Amino acid sequence: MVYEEVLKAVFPLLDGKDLASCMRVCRQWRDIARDDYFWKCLCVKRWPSICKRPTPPPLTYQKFYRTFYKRHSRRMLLPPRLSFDDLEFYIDIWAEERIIFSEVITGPVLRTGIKTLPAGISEMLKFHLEGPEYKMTVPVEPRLTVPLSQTVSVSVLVGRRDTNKVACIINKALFDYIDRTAYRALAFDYLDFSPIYPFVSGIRAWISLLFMEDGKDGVIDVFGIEMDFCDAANSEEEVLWLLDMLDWK
Amino acid sequence: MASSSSSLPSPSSSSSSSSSKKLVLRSSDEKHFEVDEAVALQSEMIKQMVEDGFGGDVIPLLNVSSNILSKVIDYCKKHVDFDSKKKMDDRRRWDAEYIDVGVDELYHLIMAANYRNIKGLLDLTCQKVADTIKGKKPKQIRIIFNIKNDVTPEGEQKIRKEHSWAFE
Repeated sequence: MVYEEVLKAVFPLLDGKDLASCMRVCRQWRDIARDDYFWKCLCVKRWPSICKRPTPPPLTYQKFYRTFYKRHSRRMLLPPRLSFDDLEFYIDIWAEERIIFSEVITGPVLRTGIKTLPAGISEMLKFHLEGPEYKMTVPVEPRLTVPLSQTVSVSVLVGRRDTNKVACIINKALFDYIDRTAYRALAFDYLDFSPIYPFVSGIRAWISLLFMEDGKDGVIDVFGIEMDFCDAANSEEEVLWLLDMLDWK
Repeated sequence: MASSSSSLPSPSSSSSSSSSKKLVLRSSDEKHFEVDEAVALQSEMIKQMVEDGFGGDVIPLLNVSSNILSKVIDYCKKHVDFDSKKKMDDRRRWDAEYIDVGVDELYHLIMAANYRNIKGLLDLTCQKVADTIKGKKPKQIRIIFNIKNDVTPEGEQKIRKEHSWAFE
């Protein structure tokens, strides 16, 4: 019973939500409500000055309205452009000047992590490693025995096989904090981002040595390495986005 | 504009102040309505016809049935009254009661108001339709206006996605 002219007289009286509902009623309503004129009316009400532009906005008014109608509270992350399959991590650890660990860890290995936790680790550490926070781990085999009296430092570079570029994650950071209750020795460094992201700073890469509970005097018995970017990235996608933003050379 | 004015006035609208000038309107089902000129002139279309010199004849309204025409005349009469008294609250209350009709009648009123170019009545009726749609889900709108959904599920999904801001 409702004919085109009536709808054309009524639609300018509706707000955006109701007009969007009308688009789902039937084909006739949809085709009429699609007319950008009605969306222009809504834009004029909401942002009167936008219609003073000599040229119409680059989008249709319909798109314009639905894009700017409200702030997007949670922004969906686009699929990352990087993949762990393309990544390699170069991890070097020194005790004083002596290299004690030097390995190329591929992305898939880091992503898989420590499959089975060894017997004899503390409950606290087990709880941490099995917790929901996103982290990357790699087993250290054979275990490393690190004397506590020595200064232990770490460097981590990351390479991507698709572009053959390398970026720095950690540049000679010291494991200067040993959390004896959690059985982790921690080091961090601030990430260097590409100059195309000038306002991003203060995001840290954390690396920890995971050690056993057996409590030998003066040494720690390291069975694994953990890396995370818990300041900013708490999922695989977020980590890949973060790595994508590094200053790749 | 020729018309056999011998049969008028049939179910004429109730007599108003007999002193003023009268016009005769004829509905699509051949019924005649005698109304004060001031009332009839609420319609821009009739005003134009009178100005063009057709005021002396019966004015045919081909698209408007007698029951809708009498309802439209009610509106015009009342609003001539209101215009002279300027009581906005009364007008609003009366309008709200007047427009409390089913969608079918509402539709015919819109068409009549549009055809006869009665701005006040057109605004009132269109606003009523807009108020009826306001806040309703597409399914409810279909029921109210008795519309069959001929959008494919994919088509509806597409609009849902494009306008997810509206349906969250």
